[in-house]
Amino acid sequence: MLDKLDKKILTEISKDLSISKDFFGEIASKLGISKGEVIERLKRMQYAGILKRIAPVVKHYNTGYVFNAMIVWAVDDETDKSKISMLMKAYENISHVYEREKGPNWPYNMYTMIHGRSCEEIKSVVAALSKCIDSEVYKVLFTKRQWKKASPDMEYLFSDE
Amino acid sequence: MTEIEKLVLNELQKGIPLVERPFMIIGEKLRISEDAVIDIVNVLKRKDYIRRFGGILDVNKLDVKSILIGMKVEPQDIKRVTTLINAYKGVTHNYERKDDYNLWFTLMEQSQKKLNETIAEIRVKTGVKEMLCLPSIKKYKTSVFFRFD
Repeated sequence: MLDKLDKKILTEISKDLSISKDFFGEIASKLGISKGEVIERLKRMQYAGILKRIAPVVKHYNTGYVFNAMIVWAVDDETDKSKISMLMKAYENISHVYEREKGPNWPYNMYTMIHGRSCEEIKSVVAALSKCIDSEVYKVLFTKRQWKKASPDMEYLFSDE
Repeated sequence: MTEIEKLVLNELQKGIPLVERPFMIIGEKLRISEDAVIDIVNVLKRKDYIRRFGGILDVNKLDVKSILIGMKVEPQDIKRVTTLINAYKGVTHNYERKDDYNLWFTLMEQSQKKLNETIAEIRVKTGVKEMLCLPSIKKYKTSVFFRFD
């Protein structure tokens, strides 16, 4: 589905790109192809869902979103997870919603990441969400320290192929 | 952040259009010049509000296998364990959290086989006994919008 050039483009745009009027032209000249080709391939990959968007990744901590937490929810197996996820997704500051396998002595199966400007903001979203999805079995795991945060290393993930 | 910086950052987070002059289009939308948009992005980068300006990919559409792992690590051992874990290229996030399971990281690899191998290696190298491996069943959302107002 992806050829070598697609992968080169994805690897290139995974870096921090320089911002100029000729934004795509600069990417193209690094890869030795035309600007039109870069744009067409990016459009195709965006349509396929591989490229979500080209955008700034906000350092949310520096912009005031200093309270961050992972909330793990234990949701009954019979419950409609897609309905629950809709409710979770409705909150703008919830960035990730995942359903995961449970673990031994770990009953939690739904995961949300939430970012707030105050501890209260997070707690109030969690309380509202708990009511909304009718689940009181959850834990809020506040972030204590960020030890690593990086974008996926595409050069590495495309290697060995 | 100034009002105009907030406006630009809100707009850009939706993603730039894939056209010849993306910042001109953004500028037209916000009624400012293309140069102004570019300047503001560079200012935001300098102010360290932007980690990176580039493509945001859905790696799960690329045969990449990923997993979330939670560990119970003795507080005095955190530094050693995180150093070992962070050395893996496939580890993108590693956070200390307030819970008995106090260290949480995501790992991605090219294949399920490689993923299993790395997990086994991490288990041996760190010596951590309590390790929750939580593969995802379904991803419902991975994107965030930080509204600046």
